[in-house]
Amino acid sequence: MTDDLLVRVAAADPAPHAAPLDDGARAAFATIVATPRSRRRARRARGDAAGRGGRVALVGALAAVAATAYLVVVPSRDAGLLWPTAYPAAATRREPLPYDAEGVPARPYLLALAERAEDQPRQPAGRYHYLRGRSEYLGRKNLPNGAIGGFDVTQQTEEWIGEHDGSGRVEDFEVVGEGGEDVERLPGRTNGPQPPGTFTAPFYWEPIPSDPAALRERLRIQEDTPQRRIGGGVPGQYFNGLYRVWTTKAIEPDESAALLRALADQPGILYRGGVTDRAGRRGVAFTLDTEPGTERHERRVLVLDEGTGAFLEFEEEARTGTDLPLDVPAPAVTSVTMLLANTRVDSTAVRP
Amino acid sequence: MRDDEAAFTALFEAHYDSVLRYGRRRTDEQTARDVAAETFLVAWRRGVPDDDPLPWLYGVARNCLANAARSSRRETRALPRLAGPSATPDHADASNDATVVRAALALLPERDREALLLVTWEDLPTRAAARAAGCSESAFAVRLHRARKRLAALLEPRLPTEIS
Repeated sequence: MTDDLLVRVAAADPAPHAAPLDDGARAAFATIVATPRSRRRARRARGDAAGRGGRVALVGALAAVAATAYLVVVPSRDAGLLWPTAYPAAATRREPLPYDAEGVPARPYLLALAERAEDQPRQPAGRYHYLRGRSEYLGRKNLPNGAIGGFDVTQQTEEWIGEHDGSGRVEDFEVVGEGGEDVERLPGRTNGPQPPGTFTAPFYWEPIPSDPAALRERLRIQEDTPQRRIGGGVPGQYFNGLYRVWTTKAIEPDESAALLRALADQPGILYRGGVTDRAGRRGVAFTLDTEPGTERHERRVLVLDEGTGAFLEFEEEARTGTDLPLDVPAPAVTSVTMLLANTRVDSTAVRP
Repeated sequence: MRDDEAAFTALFEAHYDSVLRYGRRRTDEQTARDVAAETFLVAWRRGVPDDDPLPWLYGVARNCLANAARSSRRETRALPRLAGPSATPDHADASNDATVVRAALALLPERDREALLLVTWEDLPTRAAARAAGCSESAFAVRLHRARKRLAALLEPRLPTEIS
């Protein structure tokens, strides 16, 4: 082993050349400096160790979902990509849920669900929030021949989140390909026990405020980031925020009610009647459409438990073909997120 | 312009490209740009250590990258996440050895790989690389030694001298 090895690694650098700031960088800069600074945080941050850089609220806002597991590394078929990638399964068009085509204003239905939510029993005691879900989405990638190909991805995710010290456990599996045996390797995350500080407040375990202004601010910080160009304005933040909160902490009845009441106050949300979600559960559907011509012109669908108001499923439907692989006509469902368990447990060894 | 804004502007101009390339080396172009923006947003809102901020920025970027990957997997659709950085010429494509080295890097445990990349692609001295990796200098040295050993073992069967 010699320094020749490091020379070889250095020579494999896929981005070796510096470049001046471009329009994208300047746009990012303008967005950043328009964001209010936290004086308190800024003072506290000085002197922080580098490794603690990730344990910040903003990253917590991004970390609303679980890590991905690596079981089998599939050799890459694409030259020039660092990470091995599985050969994509053929993209398939998923039909929207068969909800009512017309829809009616959602407010009275959401308020009724909020009342039912308040009547539900509290979560069991336990040091860890336990979340289990399944997601399916349609992706696309640039193929070596220059074409854009589509592929389907299915993930199964589990998180144990300890609010006492931010430790926990992650067990996520991404199934890629028709055989359902391969998973894809991602940088930066491994399955298994997670050290203290991995999961951060306020976005994982901090109680959902019932005060409308505090809830509004909570969801704004959570959703209004460059990473999430969600579209749909403030109603979109409430709509997406509800499902994201449900997938990041164990939800108590009063928290569920607060989220539903806040959503009820938002314009543009329609009640679409009863549906059966992709996991076979009966629920009621609500939708919110973003504006045609925007970056993400889509319809979002929330499926809630009619008896309890609990979140069951979130879907996104592309209304135009701009975000779809070429062989998939619009409208088509592009992502499905199912919540299969939301509770508390005493140990990361417990799997409800 | 206030002093802190001027300082942030200088920080951005000095290090944005480095952080962007850190992302480009590890993910697709759009995600790399998102990660760079998130990294500097963290710096803007929290402030950064006064001395040698680049390793600190890399540490933040590393966490943002991990979280962005997690986020994109569950919630997004139609992400060009596996696309190569089309706007960035991939000089390694022309080299079989570069492709072999990258494939071997991808087989390393994440911590080992990151240690190697920080001292080669990010060209950080060991002390700064340890800060970026969030560990002590001695722990990083152990990690780097182990990574080199593992990478050498992976590459050994493909050395040109043996092939010939």
